[in-house]
Amino acid sequence: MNTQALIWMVTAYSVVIFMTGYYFIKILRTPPKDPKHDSYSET
Amino acid sequence: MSNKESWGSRVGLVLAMAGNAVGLGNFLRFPVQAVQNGGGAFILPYLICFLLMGIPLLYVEWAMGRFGGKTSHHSTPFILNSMDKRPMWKYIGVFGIFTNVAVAAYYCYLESWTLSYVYHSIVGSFSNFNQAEVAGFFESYTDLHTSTTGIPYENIVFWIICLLLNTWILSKGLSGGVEKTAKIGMPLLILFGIFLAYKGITLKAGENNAVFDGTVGLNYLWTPDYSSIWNFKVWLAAAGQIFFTLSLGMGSIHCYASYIKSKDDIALNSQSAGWMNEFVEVVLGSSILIPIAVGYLGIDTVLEMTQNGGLGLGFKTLPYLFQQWGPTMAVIAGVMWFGLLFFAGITSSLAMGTPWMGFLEDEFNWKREKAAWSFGLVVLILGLPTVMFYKEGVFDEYDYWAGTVSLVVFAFFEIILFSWIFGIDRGWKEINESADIKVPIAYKFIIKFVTPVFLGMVLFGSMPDIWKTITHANDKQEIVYLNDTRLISKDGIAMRSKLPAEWSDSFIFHSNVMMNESLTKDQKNQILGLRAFSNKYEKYMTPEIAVVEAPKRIKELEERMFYKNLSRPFLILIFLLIAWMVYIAHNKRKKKHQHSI
Repeated sequence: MNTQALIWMVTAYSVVIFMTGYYFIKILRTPPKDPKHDSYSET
Repeated sequence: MSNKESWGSRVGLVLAMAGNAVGLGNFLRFPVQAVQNGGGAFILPYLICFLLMGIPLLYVEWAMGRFGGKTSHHSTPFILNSMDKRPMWKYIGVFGIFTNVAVAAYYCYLESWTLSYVYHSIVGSFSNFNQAEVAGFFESYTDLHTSTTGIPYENIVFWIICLLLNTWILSKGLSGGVEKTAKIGMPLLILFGIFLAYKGITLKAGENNAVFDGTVGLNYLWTPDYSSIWNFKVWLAAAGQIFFTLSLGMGSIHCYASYIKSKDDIALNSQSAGWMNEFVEVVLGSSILIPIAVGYLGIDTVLEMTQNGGLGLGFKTLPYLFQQWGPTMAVIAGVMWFGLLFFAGITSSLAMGTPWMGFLEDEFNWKREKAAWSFGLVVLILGLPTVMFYKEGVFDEYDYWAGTVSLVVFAFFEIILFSWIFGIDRGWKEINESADIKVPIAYKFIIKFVTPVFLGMVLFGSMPDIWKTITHANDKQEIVYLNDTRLISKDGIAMRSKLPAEWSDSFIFHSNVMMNESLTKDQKNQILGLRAFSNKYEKYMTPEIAVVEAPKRIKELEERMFYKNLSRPFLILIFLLIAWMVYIAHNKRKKKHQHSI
């Protein structure tokens, strides 16, 4: 691969993987606001 | 999907919403769009469109959905009407039901192919097939009169199995059906995708009959071309892909979000689902189809094969290429590839069922099961023409009007409603209510000004193409050529004369020009244009063949135009029928309101 393509690919992959992981982990770690009356029946 | 419905868990909601967005397009449409629009030339506009149009519209659609849910509305006609009381919004909201039903009509058929190809991969239908035979298999499969398994009307059987599966899951409700499917399907899809992406990236020239390294395809895909920023056509393609991939302008996001209570977050949820879709598309979608196909066929052939979309590569070529990896790996790779396409498909088609069900349950007090089965029946009736007249172009016609044009029209109206009529201040408050993340303030400006302008440009920029489609310009042009084959040679010679005379025919028609560094971008495009022209019309240059084949082809094209013309009023009729149901529902509500007074 040429250097430019490699830089673009690695940058795009890194940003997308980081943002996906960041938001998903934040969802897992954020406690429910009011577990008894929230939108989710299992919590 | 009534008021009693709810999501089982937050992770389940995000996975279902990501599953709604992740579809076959992530693996088949994105790489093809990228390749056809110049590889690296496409990526930059695509990422900018995601930031300036995709993310803002995700915020807007989630916020609109939750806002509608506060007043127990789960379908777009009444969600939009709850934001502005003028009756026109109810009828614009019809798009949010119509699009889902009409797209499901052809999408479930496409989904059934993946199911069938999983089966054929397991039983080894493709073993010992050459490439032409694998391509022929697909033609036989979609032909009603031929059976690849011995089961009569095999494609209809798989389609009905697929419809029944969708309907059954929908009848189990949001948390019991849709969410459970997403919780199983999404992790499996990602797992399969990672495995195939690894195989694609690590493909080595000389091993298993591969001609090039997998990185050759990636190189083409990721080499940036900054001049593309000035190419409007590439921007249109990039914006179209963002719409398609995020399921924007459909009404399904509104419906899913309408089951979230106002004290629960939408900002973080929307971003998590949106970025998860981008992970599947950018990271996995770009690392499977193109690296593998280019590794075996070269960029030029892949470009020629993707002239009519990604279905050709995905269904007609990949099963053959997997055979090169040995019998066991061919089965594993086939099951994984078509399995991931199936999971991508079903998590999207389930989302298409929920607005219809929400509408019937809210407005006509239908039970969930009854609403789910009615969706199955409607999709069966609407989908039948796409199955029976697939080769006559009815499938493509549905895809164009319901799956492409309608999305942009609806999104344009909804952003105007949200930013300018409901008001950006109220809208911004709605997005930020109970938010678990701080939404960058720049998005307030982007949602109000940038996204509507972007959408307006996409809509008006698409007008020439819409006009060409309405008038069947391409088919008519082909008929003109077939009626007078001298025009073919005249235009062919004119195209050839634009290229240097010293270039031999074998260089123009048989070399890998896309990897030739000494050629300019224009020269490469001219060569590819000449090749496409030649591939299409070459056989008619022999008078003996032209006498027999040209009238046949003209008849075929006229039939295509006839069936396409028939499918258009049919789609309009469906839209009007839903609008009529909305009118009845509105009157019911009015009467109920008067009684309560």
